[in-house]
Amino acid sequence: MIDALFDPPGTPWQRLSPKYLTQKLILIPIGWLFFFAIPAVPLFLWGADWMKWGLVALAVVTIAWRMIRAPRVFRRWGYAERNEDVYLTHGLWSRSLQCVPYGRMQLVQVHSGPMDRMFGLATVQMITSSTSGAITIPGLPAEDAAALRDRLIARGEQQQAGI
Amino acid sequence: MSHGPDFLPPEQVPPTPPPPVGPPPTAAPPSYEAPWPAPPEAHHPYPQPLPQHQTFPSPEAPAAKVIERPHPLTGLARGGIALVAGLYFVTQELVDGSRGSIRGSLLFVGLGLLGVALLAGISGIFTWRTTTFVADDEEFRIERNFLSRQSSKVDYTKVQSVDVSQPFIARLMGLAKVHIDVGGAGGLDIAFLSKARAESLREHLVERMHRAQLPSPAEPGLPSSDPSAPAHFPPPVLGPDGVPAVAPPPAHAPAQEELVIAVPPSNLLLGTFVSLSTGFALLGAVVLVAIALIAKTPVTLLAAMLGVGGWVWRQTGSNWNFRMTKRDGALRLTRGLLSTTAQGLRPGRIQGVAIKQDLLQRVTGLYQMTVTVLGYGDPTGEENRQTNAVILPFGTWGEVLTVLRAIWPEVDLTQVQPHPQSPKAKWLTPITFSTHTWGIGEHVVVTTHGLLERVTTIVPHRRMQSASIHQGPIQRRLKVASVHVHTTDGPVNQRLYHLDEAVARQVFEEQVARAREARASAA
Repeated sequence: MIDALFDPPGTPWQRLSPKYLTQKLILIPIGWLFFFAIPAVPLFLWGADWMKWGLVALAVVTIAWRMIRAPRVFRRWGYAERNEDVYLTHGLWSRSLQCVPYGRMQLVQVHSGPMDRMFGLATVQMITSSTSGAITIPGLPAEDAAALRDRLIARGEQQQAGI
Repeated sequence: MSHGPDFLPPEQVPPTPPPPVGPPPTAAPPSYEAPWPAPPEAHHPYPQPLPQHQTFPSPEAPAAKVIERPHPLTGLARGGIALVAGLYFVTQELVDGSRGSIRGSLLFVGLGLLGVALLAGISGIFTWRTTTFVADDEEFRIERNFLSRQSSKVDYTKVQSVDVSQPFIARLMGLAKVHIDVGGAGGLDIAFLSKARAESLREHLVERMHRAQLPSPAEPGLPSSDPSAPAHFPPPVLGPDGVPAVAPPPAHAPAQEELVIAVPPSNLLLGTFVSLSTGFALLGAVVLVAIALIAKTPVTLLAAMLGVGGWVWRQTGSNWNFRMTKRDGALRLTRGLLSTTAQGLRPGRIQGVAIKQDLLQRVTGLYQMTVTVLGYGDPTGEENRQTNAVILPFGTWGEVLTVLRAIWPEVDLTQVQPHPQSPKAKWLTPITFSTHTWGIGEHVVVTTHGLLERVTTIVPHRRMQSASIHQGPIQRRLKVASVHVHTTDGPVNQRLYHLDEAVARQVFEEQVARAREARASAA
């Protein structure tokens, strides 16, 4: 029997593409710089010196913290395809484990935005009749994502359960 | 029930004599007479439906098509609000024409509205002449033949339920409309028919729907397809107050409509008024009245009265005279004071149940039951009466159990052992700790939460969509986690809060397995 809360369900966790971590490590500083740029404009125009330095320090600490945490957050992601359902676990600070049976899937989607395409990544999304039961697996290699989608759809068709 | 017929306007009887007044001579009068017998209950169509309902003679039932036309007064009923408003303004002007300045404009508005009503009446006559409702073997069609031929159809296998409703104006004219619900987009409204014809059309459509859907094993939740179901519940289930369940357990008498529950107005009013929300509303009203008295502004007083009156109306008007009947495993809910609705609901569509009682309602011991039904969405507003999710406006615990047995005969709440939260979570929920319990029975997961409003949620294993475990940072420190059981979107949200880590994972895995088995045995 599985005893630890977020252990894999029998089969080991499948992990995301390492490129997803690289992408995150590049996107985190860019994203947070934009975030801090908004309060920075009035502060650097009219603020006192200590405010400017405070903001810079806050930005540096936040970005550094996020970058240090990113590999650990990345390692928390994992999914497992089983005979009748998919498990997904993620989150470092606030953790979760989801299980969606193939028979309940209404729709399987693959997205790949411009940033994702640059790294050859894609996101697979499984939608059920319940909004809270949707599963999103980011950062899969594009061809793996397509294969996963096809497997999910095939299994969903076999096991479709009436609602 | 003694309170049943009180709210039926007596003038409703004349418009529905036994020979159908609604349809004009159509192309095939004999064909609609034969498979569709004129309902014998036409003299008292609404209040006493129980014994009079006739079964469809099965040999001739799948015969030819049934053709129906809208009632000639359809247009008037559609433009009825404009008509009433117009008449009101015009008569007001004619009766007291003292204020010269606004007089002309009001008369103008009134005449305009009368014009709208007139146009609606004319279009109604056109609709009446050009629209045909056809109930075929395969599908139901609405055909319009005005300028271009237009035909909208619904396949019987897709039909989820057939409801009859009477908007106020239509009710005054003795008309009703039939709504075919397909669980999503693409439903049809058949408006308007005379009340009796609407009822019998509904019966007919439900019959066809059953026949179309019978071969597929899609509804194992129905007791009719599960002969072992009645054996599950122990004979008399007693409520906590020792009151035995009101209605007898549903016997297997197909096509016999039996009353499950009727909510008397006294319970509805008691449940509405002795509640926390009424307390807050009264508090607001008292403040407004105080302002009115101190500031001597009667307008505020009027506002307070209007506010309270409107609130009371919303709470009670739509659920007035609530009755739930059961026939062939399908439930039928009728309710409403001015606009009455009859809503069909198959227990197989119900995904979860929530039973609510707030702090003040504990005094009266009344509960309210709502359901999550696929396609209803989140019906927090009661405006959309077609999808009213309240299946027991207010009732005692015994009545709650009666309704529960009507929808899920196999479920017995007394066999579900309630478990408390993990004691480690005591300081996460210091005040409400003792109110959170969870339990898993043979067929359902049950949780109870809340102090101000106690909510019990019930989700059958075979209706579970997915499940998840969540653990926040504080929960991680305390080594506890929450388990969520997901159903389709609606008023029922089931969460098992703050279980020990090991228990949480075990409950989660077992629940996933139970749901899988329940799905497999259902298929």
